[in-house]
Amino acid sequence: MMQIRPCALAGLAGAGLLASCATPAPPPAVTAFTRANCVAAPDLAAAISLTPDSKKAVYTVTTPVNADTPCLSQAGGAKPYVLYALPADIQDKSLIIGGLLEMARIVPPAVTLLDRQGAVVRAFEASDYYFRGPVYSVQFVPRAGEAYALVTVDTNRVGQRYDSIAISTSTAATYVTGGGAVSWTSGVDSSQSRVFSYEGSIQAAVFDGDKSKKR
Amino acid sequence: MRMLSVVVAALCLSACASAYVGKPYDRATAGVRSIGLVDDSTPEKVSAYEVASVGSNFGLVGALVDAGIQQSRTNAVNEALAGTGFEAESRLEQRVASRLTDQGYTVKVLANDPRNAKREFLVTYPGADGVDAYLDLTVVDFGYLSAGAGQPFRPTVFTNVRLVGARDTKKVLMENRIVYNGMRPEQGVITLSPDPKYAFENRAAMLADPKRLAGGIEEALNQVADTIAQLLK
Repeated sequence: MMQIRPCALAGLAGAGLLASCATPAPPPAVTAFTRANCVAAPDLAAAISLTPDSKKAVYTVTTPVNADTPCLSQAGGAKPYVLYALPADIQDKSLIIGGLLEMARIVPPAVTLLDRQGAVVRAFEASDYYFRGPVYSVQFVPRAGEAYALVTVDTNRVGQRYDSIAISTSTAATYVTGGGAVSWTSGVDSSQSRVFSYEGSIQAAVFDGDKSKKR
Repeated sequence: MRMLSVVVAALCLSACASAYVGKPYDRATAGVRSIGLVDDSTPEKVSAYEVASVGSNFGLVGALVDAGIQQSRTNAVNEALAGTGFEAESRLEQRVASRLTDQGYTVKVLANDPRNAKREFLVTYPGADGVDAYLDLTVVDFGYLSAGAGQPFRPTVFTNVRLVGARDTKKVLMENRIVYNGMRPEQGVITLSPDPKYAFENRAAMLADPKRLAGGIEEALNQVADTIAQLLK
């Protein structure tokens, strides 16, 4: 019969606890795209609707971009795509569409607007993209005749790094004997670095001017 | 105090998870060729604020002591900047005007009364002949910001900007909020990350190098100015 020493048992238990508590590594950047089943034009019938069930001041749709995402075969090479159907009622609507910051990666978006037949009617330049909150995005008001927003990947940026500095505060509470609690707020200043990637998340937000309160 | 309001508002808004709703510009349909740039774009003084300071963790008495420390730092930074001859408002307005001129607009800097204490958009605009729209650019706060005790001070700018029609100033052609090195990114707000070159360990480091201190603010304002021009492209 195998003997287990108490300290070894404690070590094993500790390792087990650590393993169960360990934070999984964030999804890594994907900087190569080698799919063979890409199509020449987006599937308009499969577009993701940006019209909410009921009127909302802000309607946000987040779409993962992964190995199962459909792809386009274009002049610049194959790339994944996400197609959104713009709201049917564009009155007082504005949209922000782009790549959502993840822990280690971000999709560099290339957004074009299509008409009902799928023809490109408006494109945005690289200089039109800004970080609006955590979304590297363009902002636009849909014009008459624009029906879809096609989001592909700006392949020129894939593999490049986006370095940033984020500041915030963090509050920790310490419980003391006798039932009280003491809280302490400290500052957080962190340097962050992400890689532009073929995979990640695309986010589209529709702002309804009728329902929004300006601040 | 102004910076405290901005920081508290930013923290509250991010906690409420509500979104800022801007309005994008559509140059093709706006019909704007000539822009009147509203005066008084920046506050008179810069701020130098530490958010999670030691004093702020010690209740009312700590807050009172902290207010004194924050004010003393702010005064010292303004005195240091005064010695460099740095003039934020004219540089920002010139940069915006220059960038817009490069984009084909005719730009006239207007002479108007100072803004209110909250640095809100103007309610009435000074009549200006020959302009199609007014660019109302108000830096609510700018200067240096540290997340808390022991964290570096970095340049910060909190800006609201809008373009309104000259004939009908209720007609908003573009409106946005641009934050350079703010506390937490807020949905819908254009968020600019600070240049790591301009980080100061503490108050003494800021006062020891006034030229670089001014350089950090100028770089932040330039980034904001270029973003505003890009939004009107």
